[in-house]
Parts: sequence; C-alpha cells; structure tokens
Amino acid sequence: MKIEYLFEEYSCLYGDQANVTYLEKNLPKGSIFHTSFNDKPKFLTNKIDLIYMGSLSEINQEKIIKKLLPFKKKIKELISNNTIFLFTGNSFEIFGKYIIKENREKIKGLGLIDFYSVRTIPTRYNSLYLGKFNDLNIVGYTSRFSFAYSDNNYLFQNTKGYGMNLKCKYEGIRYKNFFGTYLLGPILILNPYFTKYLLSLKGFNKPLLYEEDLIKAYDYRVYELETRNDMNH
Amino acid sequence: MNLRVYFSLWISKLVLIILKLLGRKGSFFAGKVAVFLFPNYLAKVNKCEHIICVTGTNGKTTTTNLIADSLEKLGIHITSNRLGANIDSGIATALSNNLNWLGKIKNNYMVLEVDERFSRLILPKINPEYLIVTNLTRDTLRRNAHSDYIFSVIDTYTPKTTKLILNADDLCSSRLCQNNQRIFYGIDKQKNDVKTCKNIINDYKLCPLCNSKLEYNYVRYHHIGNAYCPNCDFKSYEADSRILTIGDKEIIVLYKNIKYKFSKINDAIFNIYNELALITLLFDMGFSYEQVNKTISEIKIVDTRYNLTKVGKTSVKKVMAKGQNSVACCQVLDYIMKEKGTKTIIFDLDDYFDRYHNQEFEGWIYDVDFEFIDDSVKQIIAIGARCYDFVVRLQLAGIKKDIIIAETTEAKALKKLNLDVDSIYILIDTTTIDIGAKVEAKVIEMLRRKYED
Repeated sequence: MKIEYLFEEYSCLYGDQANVTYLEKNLPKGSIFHTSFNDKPKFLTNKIDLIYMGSLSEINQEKIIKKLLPFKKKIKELISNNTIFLFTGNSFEIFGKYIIKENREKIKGLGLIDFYSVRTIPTRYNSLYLGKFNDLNIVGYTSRFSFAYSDNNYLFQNTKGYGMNLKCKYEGIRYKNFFGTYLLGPILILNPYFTKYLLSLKGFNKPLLYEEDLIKAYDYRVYELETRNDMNH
Repeated sequence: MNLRVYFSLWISKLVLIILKLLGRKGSFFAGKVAVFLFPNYLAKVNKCEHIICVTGTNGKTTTTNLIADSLEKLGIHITSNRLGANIDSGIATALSNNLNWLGKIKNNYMVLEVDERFSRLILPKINPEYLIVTNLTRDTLRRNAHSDYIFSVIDTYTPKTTKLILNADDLCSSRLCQNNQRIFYGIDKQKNDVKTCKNIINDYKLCPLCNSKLEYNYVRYHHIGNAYCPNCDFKSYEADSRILTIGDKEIIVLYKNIKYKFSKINDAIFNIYNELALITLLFDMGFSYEQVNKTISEIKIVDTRYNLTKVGKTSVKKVMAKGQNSVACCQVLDYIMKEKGTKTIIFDLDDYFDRYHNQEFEGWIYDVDFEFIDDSVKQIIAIGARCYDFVVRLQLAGIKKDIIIAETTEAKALKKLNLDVDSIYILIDTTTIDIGAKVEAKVIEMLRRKYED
C-alpha cells in the first residue's frame, strides 16, 4: 500500500501529520511519500492508494487550489478509480465548486465535488463531535472559520456536535473513496475502527499498532461524548 | 470624558470594590461591566501618556511582569494587569484602576498584557506607545486558529504610531507592521543551535513571499532562528539588540555597538528571550546600563510560571507548560531534557474547564516533541481525562509503556509517584495553577516523609 502526504509544510496545523506518522508505523518501510509544495505530486506518475492532506490556513488553501488546478483531470480520474482521498480539517474545501471569503469574494475551487464553502472569519466554530459511519461511532473535534453546503455525498451522520453547517445533520463529504471531513487532528488514531475500515479498502487487514491502547482511549471518549450535552466550545 | 464614560467608570470601580469585599479579584468582571455600559469605553476613557503593551503566543505574562517589576524598581509608579486579565474587559479594568473617581490619571505609565486575538478590540482604542510581541507560534486552536490568522489581526489593528519591539529570530512576528517604527532583538548563533529543525513543528519551512524552501543559517527551535530565501529577498531581520553569548550566570548583550553584561534571570532559552525584550525596551526608554543592570539583578520570573523547591537531594520544579499549546510544552520539555540527573515528569495539563466537562481537543499532543524524552526520565505520569491519549502518544514517541502511569485524578496518580529521582517536574496549565500548587505541595510532603524515614 502506498500513501502520499501532500504539501505537509502547509497541511499539518493541528497534529494532522500524526495520521500519516501512525500509518507509516503500521505499514512496511517506503510506503509513504512526503510531497513538498514545490514538487509535483507523486500521484501523477505513481500508483498511490491513499492521498492525505490535513488542515490549512486560509491563505494556504488558495495557494494549494492554484497548485492543484493543472492536475484536475488526473485527480478526477483517481477519484473515479477509487483511490482513497482523506482530506481533514478544512482541506477538503478545495475540492468544492467555490469558497466564499470573508470579504464575500468567491474563489473557485477544483470543482470536483458538488458542494461549496463559506468563511466566517473572525467567528470561529468549535465543537466536539460524535457521529456515525455505518455502525461505527466516530469521535473527534472540529474548529474552523467556515461551513460547507451540499445536497448529498455526506460522510458521517451527526449524533452530537457541528456538522457541515449549523443546520446540517451530517458531517463531511463522501464520494466513492473520497473522504473529506472537518474533523481535525489525528482522527485515524482517535478512531481505530474507522482506520481499520479505511485500510481494508486497499487490502490491509492486520491489527493496528498499540491497538488495545487506541481502543481504550476511543471507548473512554465515546462514553464521555455520549454522556455530555455541551459539545460546543 | 463625557458623562457616559464617567458613569461606566464609577460603576466598574464600585463593582471592583464589591468583588474585593467578597474576596474575589474582579480583574475581568469590573471591566466587562464598563464595556457593557459603554462599548467604546476603551477608546474614550482617560489614558496616561505611556502605555506599554505586551502580546504574543508565549511569554506575555512573564514579560509583562518583568517590565512592571523593573519599572517599579526604577522608581516609576505603574498600573498593570499583571494578574493576566488580558482581553478587552481586563484592559478596561486596568484603565479604570488607573483613574481616581474624578477621572484623574493616577500613574503616568501602564504595562498591559494583551491577548493577541483581542488585540483588534484593544490596540486601536488605547494607542500604545510600545508594543512588544514576544513570538507568534501555534496555540490553542479553538481560540487562536493558527499563527497566520493572529499575524493578520495584529498587523491590521496595531496603530501606525505604535513602536514595536520584535523578536528578529521569529520569522513570523518579525514581519509585523512593516510601516511602523520597529526595534529588533535576537540571540546570535549559540553552540546548541542546529542547521535543520528537529522539532515536529516548523511553520516556516517555505518562504512566505515566494514559497521556495528556506535555508536556515541556524535553528534554535521550531521556526525560531535565522533564515533566508535563496530565491528572493526574504531573510531574517538584523537585531538591534543582540545577545552575543549566554553564560552560566550572565548574558552579554550588544546594543548600539557597545557590549553590556547582565545577570541571567533564568536558564530557559524562552526566558532569556523575555529578558532580552525587557532590556531592549528599557534601553530604548532611555535608562542607563547601570539602572537596567541593577534592576535585572533584583527581579525574577513570576512564580506561577516557575517554582523550585529542594527537599533533601530532590528538586521539585513546577513549570507552566500550557495544555493545548504544543510549542510552550515543547520548550519546557527541551529545558527539562537539558537538565542533569534522573527525572519524573508529571503532565497535569488538562484544561480545568474542559476537565470539568471531561473533554477537550488533544491533537496538540501530537505536535509536542515527546520523541526527545530520553532515558534520564524514569517515570512519566499523565493526569486527567486525556491520560489514555497520552499513553498512545508516548508509546508512539518510543517511550516504554512500563514507565507510563495514566490516571484520571491527581490523588490516584500521586500514589504511584516514583520519588527515587533527582528531579520531579510538575507541568501545569494556565487553568490548573491552583491544582498544580496542590500537587506540588503533596509531592513536597511525600518527599519530606521519605527523607525523614
């Protein structure tokens, strides 16, 4: 299994790089490509199973849209061919039709998935999160200056906490094997069962490193979130 | 001042008196009342001629206290919010405190710690003479998002007439307010500096102007160091006030081509920066070397941030590390790892209010360089609701599970404390100062019993 971490210099704001570090420890040596912002993505010329990007500052979102636009056709092909895309925090917003900035200016996204985003600077929205992915509990945290709006292609069903926007009962985007979520930080470490599911899509079915401790922390967190009412910070 | 301002002033002063009678500090609430009664209170209330503000991600309270203590020792009467109420309501309380009931100014100098996120509500209204920015790094994400955002807030809202004192070694904050008068301080290359950043976090790997890979002449930690872009003109600013050498007890500072020797207030590099910021300010204010040197030799770091107690052969060191602030925690860990002897480290970093509700974002622990923990550390204790996350994180950092203790409460954790070490470090958050003091007291008591036996 091959994993590409795109533009780590910009996409590791909230402990997001831990997702890739953890995958690296679970997979054989040489499975991870770290692609610098100044390099061409490896997925252009190599078979990559999972492409990851973490949270971005708003300025860097715009830089990365410009950077990836020339490769839009290839990215569309990869999504159609079920390459896993895991884009956490606000990074998935670049795949939408557009982002409306705080000054109301509209910046075009990659336009590969049918949704759009709206920034809310200076108001920041923070929330613990408990949701469902199939039968799995999903736990996490969201903290952002934006909301997204879509009519379909949702990823998680909300139990508690903010979804895509204040009124939406769902969180994140799922289209084929494209997984975009506002949940940020080490979500693969926080959600060991979801990680196992994700890796199983590409044939990896071994136990995870420190799986017992991951599950203990996960179970404790699910219990806390299930019994807590005030999710918003 | 108009009648509405007077009314707000009197009510806030009255609230403060009532709160003090009730045994509360009131440094936040009294000002909140003033701002509620008159939203433009900060702009319209009488202000003294000399306002010195300190902001930044880390080191604000320490630097504010160093400046306030120094000016008092130099014979200047000041008003300060040194207890740390640093948002708009805290500033309003401080401004009210600096006026008598008739609105007359009591002290001609104010030293104010300003929360960087709230700087947009504060700085344009109080128009400070000086703004010291200690550094801008990653911080609590739910309040401060990321350093690009905080940079834009301070850059946009600092008045053009304010003189800034900036850290030349910080590639982020040193770029603030390029049209303002600015003085830079920095530390020359030291023997422990490296060519490549070893920390997990470095937010300035690429040039902020052209995105090319930056070349570092040296890195101290994270993005603190001296760098240049091989592709464009971007490079670190040259410091006007520089530390040339750091000795065991002294630092040598070069200021306007003259070398000066000062006592070192604290060993930790982040506190050496804070001391240098103080020296730079005092020199720029016109104090002589003799005055500054005498003052520096008499002041110390405020003890909520650092406290050392020796019991027998064991040192107990309580250090503010700040939960959810990975850079602050990294700096403290780096300091601990440089100390000699065997250690136990107690992480008591859960945010008190989150702990009360039993949850918080813990992704920040994956930005902390636990990988630097070496085998001088004989035991690690993680306390709080996030203790199980610490077990995972520490193992991923290569630490053996058998030296990790994870307990949700202090009482359970301290029963398993390893006292047979040279130093016990208690790392606390800004919201667990009181809890940290109790843990410290308990550890000291346990050590005393051990040595009596």
